Amino acid sequence: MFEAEGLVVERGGFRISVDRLRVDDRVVLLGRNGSGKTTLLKCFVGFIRPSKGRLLLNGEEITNLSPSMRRIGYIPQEPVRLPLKPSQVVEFFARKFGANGLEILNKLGISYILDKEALSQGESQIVNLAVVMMRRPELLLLDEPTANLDYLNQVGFWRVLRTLPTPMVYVTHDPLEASLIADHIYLVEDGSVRGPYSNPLRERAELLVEDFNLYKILQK
Amino acid sequence: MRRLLKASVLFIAALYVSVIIAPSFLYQGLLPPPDPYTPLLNTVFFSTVAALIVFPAALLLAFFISKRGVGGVIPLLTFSAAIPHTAIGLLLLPLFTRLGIVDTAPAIIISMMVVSLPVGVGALIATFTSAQRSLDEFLQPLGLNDLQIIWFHVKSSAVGVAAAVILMWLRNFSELGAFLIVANRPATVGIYLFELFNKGGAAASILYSIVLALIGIVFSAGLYLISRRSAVV
Repeated sequence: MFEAEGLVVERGGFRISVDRLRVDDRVVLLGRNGSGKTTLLKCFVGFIRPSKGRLLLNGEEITNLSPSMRRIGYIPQEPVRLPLKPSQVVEFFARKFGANGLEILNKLGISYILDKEALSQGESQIVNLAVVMMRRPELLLLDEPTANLDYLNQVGFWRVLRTLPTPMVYVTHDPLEASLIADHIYLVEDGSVRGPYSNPLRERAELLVEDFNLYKILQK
Repeated sequence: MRRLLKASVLFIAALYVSVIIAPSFLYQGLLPPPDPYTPLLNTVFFSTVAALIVFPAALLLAFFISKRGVGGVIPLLTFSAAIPHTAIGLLLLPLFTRLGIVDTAPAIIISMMVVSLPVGVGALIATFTSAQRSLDEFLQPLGLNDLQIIWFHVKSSAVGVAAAVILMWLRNFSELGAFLIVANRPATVGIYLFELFNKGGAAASILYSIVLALIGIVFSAGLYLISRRSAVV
């Protein structure tokens, strides 16, 4: 379980505070552009030090640990293009983390990428998720990871996320995306974080995603 | 309108080259240099050695400055680019005298390293700053150490890194000021040209200048092609 207590994060005149935030399932931080979601996430991962408060991961305080020491997986908004062939990426990180790369790719449904020379943005983002999972993180942080993906890639990414057992914080400004992913939602607004709210719309969101999939409907 | 602007750009570029090279053809009786190859080969060799030695340092400095927030050291690393290189030579002279390496290959190589470090650091900072920022944010939480992260950055920005090495090499190749003070020998192209002019005037040195100008155009064209590839990628 991940916890943030009495947290205050300040950056360039911007201030955001969190009284208490607990993550032991799929938590979405929902907020409009500029509300401080990314700032908060960067604090959780360790790129920004909070001016007050503390962060706990499975009971251990991680507030002052560097990002590399936190056992947190982070997927930034801009899809990362690793400068290796997909098979080399999997081989490199599987060896580094002593993980079974193929098993993780199979679990995420993307083992076909091993034969590819280059990946689309959507595939890259899922491969990055696979790389993160190879390290067996205790928490996943995802910063609008589908912002640059097309609709079908977005849907594919969301489905993959739903299969992961790791607790996660997913940042988005999109209520539909939040409804689809979240077990619990925190609202980021006016420099503070309110919640948790349970997600009452998951099933409707899943139906909506299917109903509005024109790619599928027009193919029929 | 666009055609006119393109034509203007071409005209200015052609005028620039003409202003530098064309007047030399007005001279009568240009003399070929007695030994054009030795200084050229010396300079190519020393430039390469110096660039290869100083590159890892430039890489580390540029990475930590651009990615780990130690930008405060930039003035310390780049001030030498803002002063005449004869002053650099004079500042290095006491050390080289103490080491007994004045007018030797090590003096040339160390001087080249000193003058090309700011160029390399500047070019690599520009490369790392314009590269995908999220790469670093993705790799750090994975527990990779900084050397592994640098390896990913270099691989990701290979063309920009290659361009930085070439810029350092070109800076080394064109050095004169520091050599005038600390290393007249072994002869490098700048010193050789300077001596040709001192001994035989313009008639003795202009042909060699033209050759060097053509070499410069060839190397700059190579750098342009690499940069262009970088922009396309």
